[in-house]
Amino acid sequence: MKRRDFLRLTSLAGSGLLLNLNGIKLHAMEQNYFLNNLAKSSSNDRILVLIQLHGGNDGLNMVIPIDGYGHYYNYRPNIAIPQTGSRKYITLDPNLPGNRQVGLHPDMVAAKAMYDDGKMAIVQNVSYENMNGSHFRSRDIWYMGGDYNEYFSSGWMGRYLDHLYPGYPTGYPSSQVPDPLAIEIGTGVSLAFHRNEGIPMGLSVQDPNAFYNLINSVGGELPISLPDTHAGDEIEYIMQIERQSNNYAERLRDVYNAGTNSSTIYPDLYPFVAPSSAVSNPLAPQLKIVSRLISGGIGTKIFLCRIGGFDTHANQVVNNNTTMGGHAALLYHISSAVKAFYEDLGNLGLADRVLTMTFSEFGRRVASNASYGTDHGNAAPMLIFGTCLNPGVYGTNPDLLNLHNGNIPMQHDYRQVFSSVVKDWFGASDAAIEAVEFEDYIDNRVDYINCKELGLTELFKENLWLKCHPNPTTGKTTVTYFLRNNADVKIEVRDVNGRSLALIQKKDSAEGEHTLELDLSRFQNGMYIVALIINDNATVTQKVIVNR
Amino acid sequence: MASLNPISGVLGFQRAGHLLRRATFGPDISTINTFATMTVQDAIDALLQQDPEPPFPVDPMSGTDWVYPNTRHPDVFNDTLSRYTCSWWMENARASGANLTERMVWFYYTHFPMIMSRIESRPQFAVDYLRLLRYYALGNYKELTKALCIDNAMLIHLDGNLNIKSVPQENFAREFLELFTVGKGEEVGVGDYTTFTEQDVQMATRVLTGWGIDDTFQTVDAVTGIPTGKVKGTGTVSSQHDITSKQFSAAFNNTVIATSGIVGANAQVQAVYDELDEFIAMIFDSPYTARNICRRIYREFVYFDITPEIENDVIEPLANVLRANDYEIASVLEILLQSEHFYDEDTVPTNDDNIGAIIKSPMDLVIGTMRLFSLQVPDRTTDLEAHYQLYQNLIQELSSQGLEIFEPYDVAGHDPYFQLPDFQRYWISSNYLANRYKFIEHILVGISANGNELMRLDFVQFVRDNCSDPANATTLVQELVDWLLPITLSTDRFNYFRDAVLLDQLSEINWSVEWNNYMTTSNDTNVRLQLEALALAMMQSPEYQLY
Repeated sequence: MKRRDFLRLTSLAGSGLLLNLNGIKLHAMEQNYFLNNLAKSSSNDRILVLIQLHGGNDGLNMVIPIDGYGHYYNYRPNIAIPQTGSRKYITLDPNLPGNRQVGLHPDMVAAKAMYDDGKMAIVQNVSYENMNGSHFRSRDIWYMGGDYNEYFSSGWMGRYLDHLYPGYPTGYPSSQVPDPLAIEIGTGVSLAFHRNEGIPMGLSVQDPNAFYNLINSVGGELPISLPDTHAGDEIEYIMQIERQSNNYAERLRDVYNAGTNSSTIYPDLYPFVAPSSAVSNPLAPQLKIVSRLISGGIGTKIFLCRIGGFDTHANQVVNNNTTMGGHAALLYHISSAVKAFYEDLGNLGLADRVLTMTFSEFGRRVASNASYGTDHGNAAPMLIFGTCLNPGVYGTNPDLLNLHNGNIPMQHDYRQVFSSVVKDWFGASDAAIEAVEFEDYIDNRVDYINCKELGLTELFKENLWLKCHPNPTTGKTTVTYFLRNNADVKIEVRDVNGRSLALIQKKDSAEGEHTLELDLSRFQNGMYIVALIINDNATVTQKVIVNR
Repeated sequence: MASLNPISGVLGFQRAGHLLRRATFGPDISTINTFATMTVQDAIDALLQQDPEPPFPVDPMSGTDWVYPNTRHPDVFNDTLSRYTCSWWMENARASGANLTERMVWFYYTHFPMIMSRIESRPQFAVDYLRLLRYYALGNYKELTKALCIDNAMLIHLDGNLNIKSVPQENFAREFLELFTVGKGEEVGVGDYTTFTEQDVQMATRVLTGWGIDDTFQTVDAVTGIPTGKVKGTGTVSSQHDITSKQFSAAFNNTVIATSGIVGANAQVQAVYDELDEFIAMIFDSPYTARNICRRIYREFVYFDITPEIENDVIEPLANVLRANDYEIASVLEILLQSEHFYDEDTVPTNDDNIGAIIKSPMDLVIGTMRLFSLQVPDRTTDLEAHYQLYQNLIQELSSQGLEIFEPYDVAGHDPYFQLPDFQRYWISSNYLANRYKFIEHILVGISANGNELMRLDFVQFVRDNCSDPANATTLVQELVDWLLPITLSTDRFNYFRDAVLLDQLSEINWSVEWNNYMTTSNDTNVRLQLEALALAMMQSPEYQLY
C-alpha cells in the first residue's frame, strides 16, 4: 500500500493493462461513459449525515405524547418522564395542535433550541410493514430500503451512489470525483454502502491523518494473476479494498488538513450522573471530523455515524429517578452534539449544505418491564436537522389505546422519509429513484425539505446543475455546469448581499457539460455566490468560500 | 456435484496442511509433516482427540485462580480479571495440540456469543462459560445448547435472569430461536419466519421463566461438573416460573408444554428442569435445527457461500447424519473433513474450489502466525506478568483488526459470522487490512513492554532451522510458499517473491554467496535484510489473509 504502488497502478490504468491486473472490465469509453451517466443523474453539493442509534431507541421517552400522557404514564410508571418538577419533559411547541403536542426528554435542551431556531423536524411513528423484532434483520431492512420480506444484498445508499457513479471502483478517484463516495465514521463498513456487486461504495475512517499514515506504512506488490477458485475471488476482494484505501488515503488527509473547525466547542461529557459507559459523548468527535472534512472541500455525499447503547432491556433509567440513567445521557449526547455540529457548520458558512437525521432499527415496547427497561417494539420518531427544513412535527401522536401487540403501529414507512432525501435534497432524477427502488414512495414522501432541489431546475427537466470545485478554495475554483438545451449563459460572482462583483459572458453555451476556471484570488476571505444565469431568466447559485 | 465420499490414501503435504489449517488454529511445519504420512481416517481420528482441560488462569496478585472455592483478591479490578480470562483463552488456543478442540471452542463462541462486560462484576462466569464450550467442543451440540440456557453468564448476557412469570423477557428466547437453534427462515407471513413464529418466541420465553444466577457456585451440573444457574425459589419450589401451559405454533407441530409438578400456584423445581428438557427435545426435533448448525459448520470449515447445490449435496445429508447421531457434533465433522468436497476433489477442477478460500479471523491470523513459527511466549508459570503483558498487547492487535474479543458490538456476535451478504469479507476494511499487515511488522521488530522483548519472529533463524537448502533461492522460496500460503502461486507471483524481493533482481549465485557467508561468519546483517523483506512481502499480502 505504498505510494509508489498507487502511482504504478494508476499509470497502468490508462494503458489498458489494468484489464489483466484484476479482471475488472474497463470500458473503452470509460471517461465519457462516466460523464454521461453523471450528467443524466442530477447532482449537487448537498450532503446527508445519518446517525444510527444502535440497539433500538425508545422513542416514547425521547418524544413524549402530551395528549396521551395519562396512558403513557400508566404503561410505564417505572420509567415515565414526569409532567411536573424540575426534570419534567420540555414542551416542544405550544402552538402545535393537540394531537401533535409533544414533549422532549429533559436532557434535550439543545434539540429544543434547534427547533426554536427552525432547524429541527420530527417525523412520528416511522417503521415498515410487519416490523421484524430482530436487531439484525431490522437494521438490514433500514439499510436495504426493501420490504420486510425482501432480501437485497445492497443498501439504498449504495444503489443511489452506484447509479450516480457507475462502474465504481474502475476509474475512481478521478479529477471530477476525487473523494470517497460515502464515509462511515469507524473502522468497518456496514451493509448501508453495499451495492449489488463488488466492494462497498463507502470507506471507513476514524481519523484521516492516522488513516493515511497507517495505509502508507504497510503492504507490498499485489498479485497480477489469480486462480479461478473461491480463493481467487477472496484475493480479488482484498486487493480492491487495498487499492481503494491507497487511492483515497492521501486525498482524505489533504482535505482534512485543509479543513478546519470553527471555534465551536463540541460537547464532551454528560453533565450529570450516568453509568460510566454512557458518560462520554461518542457522537461529537465523529461530527467534528465530518465538519472539518466538509470545510476542507470534500465531495463525499453521505456520512454515516453510529452511537450505541440503545438496547435498553434493563436499567434504561435509574430506579429512583426516571429522568436519569443511560438513555438520558444518550439523548443528551445526540442533541448537544448535533447542535454544536450546526453551530460549527454555520460559522464555516456550510450549514446549508448539510442535512442530518437519526434512525434506529426499531422503537421499543410501550409498556416497560420490571427491570426498568423496555423490550423490542415497533414504530419510533426520527429527528431531522438542517437549516433548510420545514420545521415541525410530522404525523400525530401514537394512539396508545390502539396498540398492535403492545407496540406503536406504523404511521410513516421509513422509505417515505428517505425518499425526500433522495428526491428533494439530492435532487435525484426519476431514473436514480428507480435505481434506488423508492419509486412507490415518492408521491407519499414526507415534505420536510424546504430548499427543494427541483423548484428551479424543473425548468430544465431537472438536468441543470452547477458545481464549484474545490470549495472552499484558496483562490481558483472550477465551475462545472450542465445544459439540457442551448441557452445564453452568464456567470456572475456576487457578495453575500447580492452585489455583483464580476460578470463573465460565456460563449460556450451548447447543450452538454461545460467547465470554466474562475480565479477568486483577488477577493477577500469570505463567502461569495457564483450565479449561473440562463437566458437572463433562470438563475442557479452556488456558495463559494474563499479561505487562504 | 459436491461429494461427501471420503478421499483415500495418505494425505501428503498439501492436503495435510489444508486439513490442519482448517481444523486447528494452524499447524507448525513438523505437524504438517507428521500428518502428511497419515491416511485421512487416521488424521481425523487424531483431530477428534480432545485436549485435556487446561489449568485455570492465575491472578498474580493472589497467586491463584479465582474459580470457586478460591475467591478473587479484594483489590483486583474486574476488567483486569476479564483481560486475564481473554489471555487464558488465547494462550489455550496457541498451546493446544493438533486437534479440533480450540477450533470448536472458537466456533461455539461465534455461534453462542457472549459479551463479557455485561458480566464483569462476576469474573468466574466467563471462565465457566469457556469451560462449558470446551467441555462440549467435540461432544453433543444439543447438550451444550441446553447447558447454555441455564449458564450463569448467558443468563445475564441475554437477560434470562430477569425473565419472570409476571414480566416475561424475550431477549434470550428470541436469540435462541433466531441464532442458536432453528435459525430464522423466510418470513412467509406476519411474525411467521417458517422455522418459528412470534408466538414461539413468547412461549419459549415462558418456558424459560424463573431461572436466576447462582453466584455462590453451589448449583453444579452433574455431567460437566461446571457451576450453573438455578431455579429461583426455595430449592424445591420455584417462585418465578410461569406454570400456565405453553402452546407452540405449527412450526413445532403445535406442541404444548405444560408444567408437570405444581405446588399451589408455583412449579416444583424439578418440573422446571423437566420443562427445559421437554423444550430442548422439541427444538431438536425440528429439522431446521440440524440444518442451521450444519450451515454454520460449513461456513466455519469450507466457505461462506452456500449455493443450492451445496444445500442439497452437503447440508442436507450432514443434517440427517447429525440427527441420526443425536447431535454428536463429531459425526458431521468426521464426514466433512474426510470428504472429496473438502479437498476440492469432487469434480474436475472448477471455480468452486475451496482450498484457501476462508479469510482468517484476526484470531486465526495472530494465533495461527504464532503457531506456524512456533513463537516463544513468556511462560505462564515462571513469568506470569510478562505473559499477561504479551497477551494484553495481542488483544490490542485483535481489536485494531476488528475483533473485540469477548466484546462483539452486537448480541448476535461478530459480523463476519452472521452478516449477509459478505460474511467473512467484513473482516476486511481499509483499517482492518492495514492493521493486519502492521501486525507482521510488529512481530518482526519484536513486541516489547517496558524495554523487555516479549515475542519476536526471528525470520533468519526460522529459515536456518527449517529450510532444507537455504542457500538455494528457488528451494527456499518454494518451501516458504508451501508453509505460509494456502494456494499454489502462479509463476509470475513466485518469481516476484524470489527475484524482485529476495534476490533484489541479482543472480541466485549472489544469494548463495550471501547465505554461505552468513554460515561462516555468523554475521546475519545482509541475509536478514533480504529475508525480512521477503517475510513482509509474503505476509503483508492478500494470500496470507487466507487459509
